[in-house]
Amino acid sequence: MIRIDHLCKSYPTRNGMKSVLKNVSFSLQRGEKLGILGCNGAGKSTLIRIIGGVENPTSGTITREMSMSWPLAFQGGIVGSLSGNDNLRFICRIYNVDYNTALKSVEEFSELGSYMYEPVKTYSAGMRARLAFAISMTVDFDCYLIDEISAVGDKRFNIKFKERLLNKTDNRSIIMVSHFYGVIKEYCDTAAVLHSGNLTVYDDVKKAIDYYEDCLQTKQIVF
Amino acid sequence: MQQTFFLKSLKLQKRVLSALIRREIIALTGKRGMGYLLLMLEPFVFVVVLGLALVLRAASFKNVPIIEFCLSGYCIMWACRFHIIKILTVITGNRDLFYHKYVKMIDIMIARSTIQCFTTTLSLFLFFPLVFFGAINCPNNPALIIFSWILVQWYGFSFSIIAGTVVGLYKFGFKIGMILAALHIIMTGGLFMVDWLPTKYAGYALIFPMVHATEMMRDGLFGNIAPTHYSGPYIIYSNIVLTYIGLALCRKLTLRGPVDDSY
Repeated sequence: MIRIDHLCKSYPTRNGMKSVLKNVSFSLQRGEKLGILGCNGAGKSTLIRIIGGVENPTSGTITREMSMSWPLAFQGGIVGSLSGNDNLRFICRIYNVDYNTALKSVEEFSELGSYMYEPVKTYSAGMRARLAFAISMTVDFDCYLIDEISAVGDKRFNIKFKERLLNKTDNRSIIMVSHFYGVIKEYCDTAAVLHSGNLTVYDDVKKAIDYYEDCLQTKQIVF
Repeated sequence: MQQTFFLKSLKLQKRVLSALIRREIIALTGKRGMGYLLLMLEPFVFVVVLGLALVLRAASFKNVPIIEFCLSGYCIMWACRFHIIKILTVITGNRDLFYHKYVKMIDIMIARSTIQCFTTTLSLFLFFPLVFFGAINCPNNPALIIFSWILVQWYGFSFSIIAGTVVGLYKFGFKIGMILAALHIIMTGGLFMVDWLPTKYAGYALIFPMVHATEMMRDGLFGNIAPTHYSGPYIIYSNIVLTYIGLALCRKLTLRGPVDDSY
């Protein structure tokens, strides 16, 4: 499981320290699928980067008792100047995965064909997302951190992706952040709303969506 | 028996470093193919040009063989500068890799520096054809040359970690790095022999560890033809201090995260 206690994060800006996350706490059991809703600039990506260990929190603790993917996002994790194949090789080495079996499954899952051997910076957003997912699937993490990325795949890919990710027998956890609640409704059992640095967890996705709508409509967003 | 925490970490460290070093090799060779071997040409051209220029004034050099003088000075200067310049972009170039939580700041620094150690050592191979064609005499003491080169690489390794972390720590770090690289033109003592300096100033020149290393290499090349002044332990002590500073800065950077985050 993953437990997050009293997490705070602030960044230095030109107008002094800006607190992005104020006291965020929640826990996630194995197999649970949590969606985090928040408007632009609410700190969703920051939160997921901290959970993934990319950044250090200003204060608070994170206890990770299952293996976690790197934050799957538009940027990060995959190097633009290397080819898809070289990226796969690199990640296989880091996470100690057999390259040959991984290559087969990535080729099949991502359907990139000969583009696998072109530099990633020449890829479209959708191709990049497909590659990132395909590679992360080969490593077989317990928990996947997903940052908005599923919106870019086409329908065919999304169906395949959902099949893999929501496979009951694997009992995988997901933490997904988005500002778009359609995706959250599709993938997650529980949902939380990140608003002005505070996280409110709801057992019912519908309730979370209502609160999120409320935040969007009535409350003015102040950065 | 269950593996201890330390052994597990060590294995992970080895895996990450080897993956990063392979990535550096791809970055180095991938773009230009074998063209990276042309790196060797730069010191060669410089040595030839400077050598020819100095031959015209050969009368003012008492006893000092000109080509050896240029070669020893320039190799070390070039190695140090190359170490520093190449690490300045290491954070921006590898930012995407920090998404993998096993990859830490120190790992990418070590990987880049290690690769630089190998590429800069290529310039040392200039000695072979030059000796073969009789342009320079066979070195008086090759072991001394190799020893001084190892110390130069150690220096370059630790100084590049300092330069690389400074780029991450400060907004104007890149400029500091460029200045540090430029300063190494004089800080390495490639352009003079300590013996030529007035005794009053020789002490100041010998503050810089790489002046010692250059003198040591020249001792290995010339033997007793020209007097040299250096201290091996001094280089080792200053390298230990520099390595410590580099690692301490790197730790600070790891905890704080690099500035200019465009995440």
